[in-house]
Amino acid sequence: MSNFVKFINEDIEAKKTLFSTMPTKTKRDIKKFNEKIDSVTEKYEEYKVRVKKYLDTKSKSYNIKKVDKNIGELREKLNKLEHVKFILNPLNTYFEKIGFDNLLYEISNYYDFNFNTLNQIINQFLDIFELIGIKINSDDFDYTCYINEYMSAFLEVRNKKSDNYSEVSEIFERIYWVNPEIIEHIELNFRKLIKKYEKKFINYISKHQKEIMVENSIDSYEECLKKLKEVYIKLDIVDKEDVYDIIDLAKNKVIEIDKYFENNNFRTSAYSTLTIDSLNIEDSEKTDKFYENLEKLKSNIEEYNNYIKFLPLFNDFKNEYQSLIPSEEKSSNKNNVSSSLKTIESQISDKESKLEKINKKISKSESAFFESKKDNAVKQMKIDSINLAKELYYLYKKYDQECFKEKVLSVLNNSLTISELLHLYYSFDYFKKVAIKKVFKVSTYDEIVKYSESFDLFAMNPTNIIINGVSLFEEKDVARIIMNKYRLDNINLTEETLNPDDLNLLLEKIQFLLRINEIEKSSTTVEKIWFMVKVKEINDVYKRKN
Amino acid sequence: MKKEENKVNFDLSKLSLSELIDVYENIEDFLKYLEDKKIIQKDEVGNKDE
Repeated sequence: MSNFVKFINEDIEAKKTLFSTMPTKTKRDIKKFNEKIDSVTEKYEEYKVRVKKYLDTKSKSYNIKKVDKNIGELREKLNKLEHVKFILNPLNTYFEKIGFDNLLYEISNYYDFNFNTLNQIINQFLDIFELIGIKINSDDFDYTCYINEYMSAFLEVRNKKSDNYSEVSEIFERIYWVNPEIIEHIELNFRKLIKKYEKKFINYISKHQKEIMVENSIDSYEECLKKLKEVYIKLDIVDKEDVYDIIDLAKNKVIEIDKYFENNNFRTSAYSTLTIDSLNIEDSEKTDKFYENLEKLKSNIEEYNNYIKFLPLFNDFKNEYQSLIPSEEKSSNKNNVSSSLKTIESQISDKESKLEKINKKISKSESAFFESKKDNAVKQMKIDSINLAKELYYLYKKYDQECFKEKVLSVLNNSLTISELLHLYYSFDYFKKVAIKKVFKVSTYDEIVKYSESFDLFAMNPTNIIINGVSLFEEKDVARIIMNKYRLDNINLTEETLNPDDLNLLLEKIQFLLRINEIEKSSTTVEKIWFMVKVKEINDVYKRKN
Repeated sequence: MKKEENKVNFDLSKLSLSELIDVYENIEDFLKYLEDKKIIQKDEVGNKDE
């Protein structure tokens, strides 16, 4: 023990003995006692300041500079390429690329939102039309007489660039009690307008595709996927947790640095449970290989975790479409769907022209100030128009389902992989959300969006490996495949460790060992990090007191 | 006493990291002890003196 430690320990003991023997019976005794206390306190405050100053300086000297890894630039590149992929995606159409399916999902789930959200959705629809150069006016909203009244008021506020929709809200409320399906009718009207300007949208997307390909020096969708994967791998490496991040996690108590000491039981047990033959640290080649495999295992477990999370969705798809897998006997499925689509299209067209005629009659009757005996006829026409709109609403839903079915049939086969299914749902946001709502029994819109975003992150990851080889319609024990692969690499995986409920625990354990390796490879040590953490604690207490 | 304190060796560089933390914590604990030990004079204490 050094002199200073020895001195402090002995001095403290001596002072304590002294204070225990000092008389404190009289006022004078107490005064003397307190004076002694004050003088010792003063001395020890001085010691404290000196030691703290030393601790701070030493701790600072152990700091590791954050390396600028240019992550921002890589992320920007990744975002650009993801946009290119989204726009070039050969599986979907202008409808999904332009975001109509997303807006239609939102407006179809109107019971989840308020009046302001409805206005935002309508404005987003109108923004898209304006982006393409289509100026929509109140005459375009003629699906029912109520829509025209509502949208005329809406467009007036929008054209004034005002945010005050209070009058529009009053109109909405008045119409709602006569026509509670008004939001469905707004949706129908937008569907009709999208259909009317379909060619313009297709041309816009086609022009945009050419532009972004030139901007990003990409010749094809396949090339985009290749570049995307390269950037993704680069970002994965660069974004990997380094020793600076580990120090930060320790200082912020996200990780317990005590567990990282060589003789800590948690550390010993983590190594012994994850290795088949104990790791010989002297054998650097084997040790490096072990950590390299551990890194790969981490990615695989993350992927497997996502696979497990969305397994109910895959099973639901399987139940829904397995019977439609094309075979020699069932080759007519595709033809059936296309003929069903044509039938629905013509039904929609017939009913919409009927509706248009009724609406024109209502409009004429109302503007002609007919006497009251004609009022009943107008009333009946309004009821008829609403009924027709209702039929059209269901026809459009049926049409969407058939369209999706057609897309499903275009990729459906016995060897359809999970990866291909992910891409299918990723390409059709509306149906992905419908499936999520049904399968996970989530009720709120926010929850659905959360699931959907997590699904997209999984689907978009070009470094997924396992799901590329897992066929949806074939029974495969994915856990066993992972287990067998890594057992060959001296990593002790068992069925228990790969239990879906315990995957996060396994990931934590892997991450723990990877952090140890990261620390050991760096210029710092567990002890130095422990010291920095302690000094931070001291400073936090000091700041709270002062 | 004064002579003795002046001899205190403040060469902290010879201390290990855990000793450094220990010594700081010991000082802190002792300061807390001193704070608690200090006697706040009350009237009844004064009366005893009289």
